[in-house]
Formats: sequence, structure tokens, C-alpha cells
Amino acid sequence: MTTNNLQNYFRGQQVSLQWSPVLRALAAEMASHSETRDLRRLFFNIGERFAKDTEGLFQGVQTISQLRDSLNDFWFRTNWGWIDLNEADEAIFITHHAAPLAEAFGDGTLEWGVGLLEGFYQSVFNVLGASDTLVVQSIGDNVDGMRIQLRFGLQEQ
Amino acid sequence: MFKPSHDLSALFRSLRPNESNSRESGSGVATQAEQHWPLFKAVEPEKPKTPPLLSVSEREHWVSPETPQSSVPKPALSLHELSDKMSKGLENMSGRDNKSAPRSDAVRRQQHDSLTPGHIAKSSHNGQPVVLTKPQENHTFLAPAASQSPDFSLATKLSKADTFDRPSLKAVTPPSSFENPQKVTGGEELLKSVFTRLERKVQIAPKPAGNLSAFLDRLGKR
Repeated sequence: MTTNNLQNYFRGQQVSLQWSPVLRALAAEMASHSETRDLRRLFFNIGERFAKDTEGLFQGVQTISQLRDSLNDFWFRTNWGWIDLNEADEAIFITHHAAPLAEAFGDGTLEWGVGLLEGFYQSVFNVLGASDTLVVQSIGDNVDGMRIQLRFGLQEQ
Repeated sequence: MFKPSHDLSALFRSLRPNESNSRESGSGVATQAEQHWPLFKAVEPEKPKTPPLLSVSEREHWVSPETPQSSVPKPALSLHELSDKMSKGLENMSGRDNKSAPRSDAVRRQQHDSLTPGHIAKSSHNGQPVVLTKPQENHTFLAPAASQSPDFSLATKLSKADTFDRPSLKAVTPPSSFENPQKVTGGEELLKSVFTRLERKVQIAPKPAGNLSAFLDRLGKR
């Protein structure tokens, strides 16, 4: 069995059959009516709201490793994959593995769908005391959404 | 001994529609059924009795189902009316009591409990008016538990799931020794100081440009 087969099988399990077609249709409809930038902003807001609902889980966190463990615990339990957190080059880098975004909304939607994770992590960092001068931005090309990379630091031009 | 062939055929014949009768008269569904199926005759439908005539007062209170209802809702029994009725009832009861044995204070208090706050009922008990008052604090109504908005947050759901389903997957909770960060972090840098360090670079970042221009200015002056 190839890695691709395993990955396809795994992706098939990520989103419930009950909601998968609805979410795909929703994303397609939204994409046909809005610009990528607007959709990304919208998903950023959704991510922030999503995080607000869970911020109680992260309020006691004090270090990067505690934050990583706490986030992993949360993502694992909600079937949203897992993450790596590393500080390097004057920023904190977040690698989010196996997020169900691509499966839920479609591979083509990741360009704006990733805004949800940006908003989520932004909200978490803000709750932990970070100021608005530091922002979360996705970096790299999120081809299939199995490995989404984000950077938390000064805004990159 | 059972004789199937003869007896059964006779029975079936009796159940057969009586066609001769049907030709004689053909009006009305019930009569037609009676003619076709003789058994119908045995069960005669009960004719509806004519409704009794309403009296004048009854007619005044009668509202036809077709009559459109007034949009203004009927006023509910006000607290004042209710307390009046109840006090009258109490008066009657206490009047009756006058003839029999006097009621105990406990019973009177029980009756009084059903009164509205601050209501005074007069009783002719022993010829003296009995003032029934209720302490105000007893009328503090507690809001029902359902009116408090329940917490549907994901964090709460997850913590509940922790309790019942997956005890091994507990959310990171602040340790009790939070006052001493050194113990908690085990030498690791605190997130807040990481943030400050990252933010400081924002403030430091524009300085080199300023210094460079000043340096160039100085060079120009020379």
C-alpha cells in the first residue's frame, strides 16, 4: 500500500459523510461569489471565533512546549491533526499536520481556508499576552493541506 | 360431528347480498347497505339527539367557533383580584370556624402562605380582626435553573469528555505552583518573554535606518 493510498484513506475519514458534501458545496458557493482575500479574512475571523470558544484550555500555558502540548491535546481530540512549534529566525514557526481543511472544503480552497488556522493561532497568542504587532501568517505552498506551515512574528511584506 | 360442506354453504348464502331488496329501494347509503347486507339491520345507527335549547344566559356566553377571537388577550387574573378572592375565601372559612373550634395559628399561617405579599386579610375570628401579613423575604422567587444559559463552549464539552470518556487526554491545566515560574517552566523561557523579545525587534527595527541617515548626514557635513 502506497503512502498516497494511506493518505487518501485517512483523508476520507477526516470529515463526516454527513457534512462533507455540504461543506464542499458551501465552499464552492462562497468561492464563486467572493474574492480570495475576502474569504481569507472571513476564515481568519472564523478561526478567531473558534479559538475564543476554546481559550480556557490555553490560558494557563506559560512556555512554548506547554503550548505545543496543549494545542496537540486539543487538535488530537477534535481530529484536527497535530502540530510542531519551533522558535527560529525571530519568529515562532507552526507546522500543522493533517488538518482537515482541504478535505472539508476542497484542495482548491486552501489558499483562503488557511485563514482559519491563522485566526485561530492569532487568537491563542493574543490570549497568552502577545500584542497585535506580531501576526500569524501562512508560509509555503499548502498543496494538499496535510502540512500547513505558519509563522508567528513581525509581519512579512 | 362437524358437517362442513352443507352448513358452511348455508352460512355463505346468508351472508350473500340480498339483491331482491336492493331493487325495491335505492335511496340513502345506510338503507342501501342494509339492503345489500342484512347484518346491517341488526346494528342500527344511533340517530343524533337534538341538542338541548340554550338558556338566555347560556346564549350570552356562547361563542361560535367561527366567531373571530379578539386579538386582545383576555386579561389574566390579576394578583390583586386573586388575593381578594383568597381573602374572601379565608373570611368564609374563618366565619365557619367561628361556629366550630378556633383554628390553630399553624393552620392560619398555612392559609396565609397562599396570600400575596403585603396583603392584609381581615378575619372576624374572636371578634377581632386578624391581620395576615407575609414577610417580604419569603416572596423572593428563585430564577429557574433553565433560565441560566448553559455553557456550550467547546472547551466545556472537551473537559466533560475528559471526565467520562478519555481520562488520559486531559487538557493542560495551570499547575498549582504557578507562583514560581522557575518550577513550572523547568528553565524554559516564558512565552511572555518570548513575545516581548519578538516585539522588541519591532521597536529596534526602525532604528538602524535612522542611525544610518544620521551617519550619512554626518558624513555629508564632513
